[in-house]
Amino acid sequence: MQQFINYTFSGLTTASIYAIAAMGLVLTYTTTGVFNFSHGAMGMLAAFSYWQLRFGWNWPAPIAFVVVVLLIAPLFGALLEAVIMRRLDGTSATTKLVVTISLLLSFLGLSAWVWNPLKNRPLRRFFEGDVVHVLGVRLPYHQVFALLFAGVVAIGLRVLLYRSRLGIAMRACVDDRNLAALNGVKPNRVSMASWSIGASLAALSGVLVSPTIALSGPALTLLIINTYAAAIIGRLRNLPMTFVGALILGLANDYSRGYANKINIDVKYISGALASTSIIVLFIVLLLLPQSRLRGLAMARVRESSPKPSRGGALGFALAIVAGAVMVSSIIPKGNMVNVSQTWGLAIIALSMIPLIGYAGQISLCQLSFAGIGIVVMQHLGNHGSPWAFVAAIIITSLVGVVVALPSLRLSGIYLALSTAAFAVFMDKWVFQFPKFTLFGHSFDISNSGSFTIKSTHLFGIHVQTHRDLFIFGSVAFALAALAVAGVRRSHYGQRLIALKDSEAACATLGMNPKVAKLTVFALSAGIAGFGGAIYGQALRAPSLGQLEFLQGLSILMVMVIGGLNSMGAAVFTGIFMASQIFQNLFPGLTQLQLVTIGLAGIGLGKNPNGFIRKDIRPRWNVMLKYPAAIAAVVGVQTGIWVLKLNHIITRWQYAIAALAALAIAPEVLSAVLRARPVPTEATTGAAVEVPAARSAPVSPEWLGIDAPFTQDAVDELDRRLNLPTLGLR
Amino acid sequence: MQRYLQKKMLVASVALLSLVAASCGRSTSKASPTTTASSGATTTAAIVSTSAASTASTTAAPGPGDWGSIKEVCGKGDAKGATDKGVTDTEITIGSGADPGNTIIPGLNQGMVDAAGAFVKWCNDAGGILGRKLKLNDHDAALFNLGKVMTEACDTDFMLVGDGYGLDATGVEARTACKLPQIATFTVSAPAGRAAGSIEAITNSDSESHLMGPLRILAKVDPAVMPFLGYLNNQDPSLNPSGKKDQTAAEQLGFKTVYYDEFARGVDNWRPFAEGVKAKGVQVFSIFNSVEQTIAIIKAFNDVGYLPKYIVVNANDYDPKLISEVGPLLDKTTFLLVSGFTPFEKADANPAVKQYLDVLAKYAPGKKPEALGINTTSAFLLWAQSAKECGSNLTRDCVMGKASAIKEWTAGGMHTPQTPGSTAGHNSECFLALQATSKGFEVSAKFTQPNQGDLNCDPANSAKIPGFPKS
Repeated sequence: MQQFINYTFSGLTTASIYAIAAMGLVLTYTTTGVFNFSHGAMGMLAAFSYWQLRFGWNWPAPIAFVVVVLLIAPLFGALLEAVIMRRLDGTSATTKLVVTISLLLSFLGLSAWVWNPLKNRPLRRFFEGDVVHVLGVRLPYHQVFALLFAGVVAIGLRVLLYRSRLGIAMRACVDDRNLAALNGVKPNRVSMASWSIGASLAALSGVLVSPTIALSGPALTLLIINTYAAAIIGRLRNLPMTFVGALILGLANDYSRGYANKINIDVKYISGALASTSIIVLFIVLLLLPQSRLRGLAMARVRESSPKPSRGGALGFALAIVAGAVMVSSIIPKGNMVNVSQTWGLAIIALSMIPLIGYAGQISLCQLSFAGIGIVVMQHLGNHGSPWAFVAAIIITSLVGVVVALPSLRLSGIYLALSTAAFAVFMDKWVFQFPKFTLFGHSFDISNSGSFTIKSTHLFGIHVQTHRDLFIFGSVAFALAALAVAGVRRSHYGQRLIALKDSEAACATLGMNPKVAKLTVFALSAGIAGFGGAIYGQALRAPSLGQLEFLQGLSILMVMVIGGLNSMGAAVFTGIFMASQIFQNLFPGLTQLQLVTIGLAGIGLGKNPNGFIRKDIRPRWNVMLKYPAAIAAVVGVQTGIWVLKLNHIITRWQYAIAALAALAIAPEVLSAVLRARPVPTEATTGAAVEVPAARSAPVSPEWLGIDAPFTQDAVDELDRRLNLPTLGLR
Repeated sequence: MQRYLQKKMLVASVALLSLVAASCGRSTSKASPTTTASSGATTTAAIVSTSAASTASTTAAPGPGDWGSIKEVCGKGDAKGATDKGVTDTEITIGSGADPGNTIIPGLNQGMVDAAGAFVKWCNDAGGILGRKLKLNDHDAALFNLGKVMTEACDTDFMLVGDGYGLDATGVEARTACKLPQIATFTVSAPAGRAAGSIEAITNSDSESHLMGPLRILAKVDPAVMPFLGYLNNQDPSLNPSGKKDQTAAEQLGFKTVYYDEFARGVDNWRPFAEGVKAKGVQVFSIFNSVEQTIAIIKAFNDVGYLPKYIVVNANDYDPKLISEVGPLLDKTTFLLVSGFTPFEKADANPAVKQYLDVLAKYAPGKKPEALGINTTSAFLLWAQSAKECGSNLTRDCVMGKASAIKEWTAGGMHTPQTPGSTAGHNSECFLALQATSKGFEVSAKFTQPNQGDLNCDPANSAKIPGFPKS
């Protein structure tokens, strides 16, 4: 009995911290619709700030505490709301998610930059050394304080929401933001208040928890994943239930730890499951929660679109990829090739997000786990160099994709994201870590005791061996995968996926079965990711489990979203960016800046939700693509520069600069040429004159968007004519 | 054990891949401590140091190229010839490296880089290797660029010396393809530790060989605690078998396990583990750990009001962090760790360790000594001595042959006697027990029971643990 009481109190101390963090998370989500992945990172920054004031500058503890939790954190939250979150209206759930993921990464980079992680920062607890005995349990004051704070926060939030004007406005915004605005509530002010409170609660949890574990950026940041489950138990809107959820989690964690040894199983098989108790709870809750409640935010009018690639365009893209890879591979120094060869594996993993997240709008945070399964398959089946291992990798990961999709069928938006995140963490913590075991006389070792060795393939008599071979082989694989994805987009099936994204209900009404579409797109995307993992694993040669971790997967998703989730060019960008470490190689002294910058780029998404490729690169090239002669000229110039390099007439750097410059100025050259020529008649060139035509007043609005893509001006014009308010797209 | 820590940090770090940062708790461990001495290596040094040092001081003052008991490892001479890649009449180009440029744990293992730079400057000031000056290429793998830097090293370097990388499995292919040999500071992965052309001056065996260390002494000093062993292992599949090996070794000594559990990355509450240890009445506790995890569990022990009578850990915990975070709590238990060298605080007792500190202070002013710096310096000394013996016949094969043939290597008395070689070899049977208290790290004569200078070199210290390595 005493033991039970011991574990109960032990569980309560964690539960109190979960509760504080989870209530902050829920508060910001309900009032603003943004699920803040960086909640833990905010707490982490607060813990570091507290250390700085309290121990770095020797401020008294109460003052440091008040300044961090009640001053700095709320101001920081308000700033975030004003600068970033406010612009996220009208973006998809994926974009909102990725913006907070970007923040998470930026905060991590920032903390490592400001507070050197190698330096030791002892953080003493409040009233270190003082303890109180309750029912025979020894409780340090610090833990008693955490319990008290949790209670105070719960009661305080209750009072705030039901007894204050601000709270009533908040609840009104939860119910219907527009209606609340009509009634004189200022939703922006409400959002700002809830971000302030949320940041303050994040800070409180961070300051309370850091002395018991270590003051370390990554550890504190990821801790918060455990509180997602509590937030989900509160259905992301109910604070008392969130509090109960935190209690359940904290207790489940410690009871399972305390009583697991009563089960007659070797601890090594279950320690991974014990470590992911909260993830298991999260998964169960997602499955059990009444469906009607899981509606997420209505996706009213989203500013994102997925254009259909033409058959020729897709083929040209695939050819350009392979040709470009061949050219580049002859230029890159052997040493750099080692990292560069990882490009295509990562690019394929990024590509797998296009049909699932880009087209069908199903947020998945576990694509890298699928890739990990591909690597496991290669480890076990591919080590004789057989190309069939790729097929096996695709099939097996597709099947796993279906298994993951089945329980998630009725979920969407943030709930789906969290359930796939739960799957990813579960794979990280248990499945990939599973020790060697014997079943029916066969010995299994999933991850080869944590060290993979992936052999390369023999294909049609060719042995893909060096990193250069792998790079070219990978580009072919990517080109094939890209063609497959383009094929999907061009097919009826692809249209169904896009319909699914627009409105599941409408799809069902029209007689389409959204569940089949969801299942198949999960299988397809998982298969592509598994294939990408196989290619990635071959380039890595010795992948480590760390390279498959959840956060790593988030970073791939983030770069992909920055490029544009509907654009294959973004997948290439993701591969190049992640593999070549451009930043690190160009600015070796500013490595931390890389994280911060990439995070900032993600934060810019609010302004530009289709990604920079669609916004900045495609429009300039669209004109180009209409002129075969222009394309031929580009190919000719590129080949010419390449031949110069091959013959050692120019150096590597000169080649790189010349090739990139030639690509960059090509559209400008073309438009200069077009301007110099007499304006051709509409019949002969169609699109070429579209740009100037759209700028001048259009002849008749019916033709807008018919023979040329919509421009902002055209949309404004239509809105004006229809007497609609402008959408505020800029 | 050194390798384990390294591995841990590396795993952690990898998680972040290039851009992102991080995964979980383990990432922060700085790895260096691990490497240090952990497993077994330490010993002879002490012995040697007493004898050699005393002779040295009575007979003659140390010369400019002496290191501890090694005479004129660097000095003038007339060796000639472009005998191998990177070697000319006047210069030898060698490479070294670690991961300080990574973004996840910036500055990781900087201590190795500092030790390498300081050693080379010191050696050149003393005259170089038989008159040839050393040119040092510093290869920063930044965790993820090892394949690249190894490929570059292939084009320039005679050998790699005193290097070590978190993700070393990724560099094996490039290094072996160009037959570039290395005398490493440490290796992490089994493929790297057993690769062709790779030896370590202080080996960290991954074979069945195991150094029993202070537990064996504890069994004699306080046999009453033997039936109450508690072991907390790491769940990570690459670390777990080594923890199992530790625990099996303890049982082989006659300890009886009453508590065994495993922790995963990112533990957010250590209290239930402490409750379990308390409930089972554990008297000898061990954890397979990084120093952060040791600190956390000790805090949790304090919370539940139960510190086991003895806490016996590996060399990863030789870290000032331990003292600054939980120093006062250490006085409530007996905290022992196995070491391979005299702690820096007591360097006056060991001229070779003292010399490491002095050389570092002189040639890399402001840089902090690190346990891994000892291993790096040892690797450089082993290389320098072997290169000197090769004279004008300075080839890779000659140096590797000489270095591999040395037994009882103590780097001039800096650490316990080692048999340089790959990780397939076996561990030294010498150790030095350190006790950590609120005042810092001290050599514990009680738990070392020295029988050879300051060290305990009883052959029974080295045991075979059947069934390991498990993979």
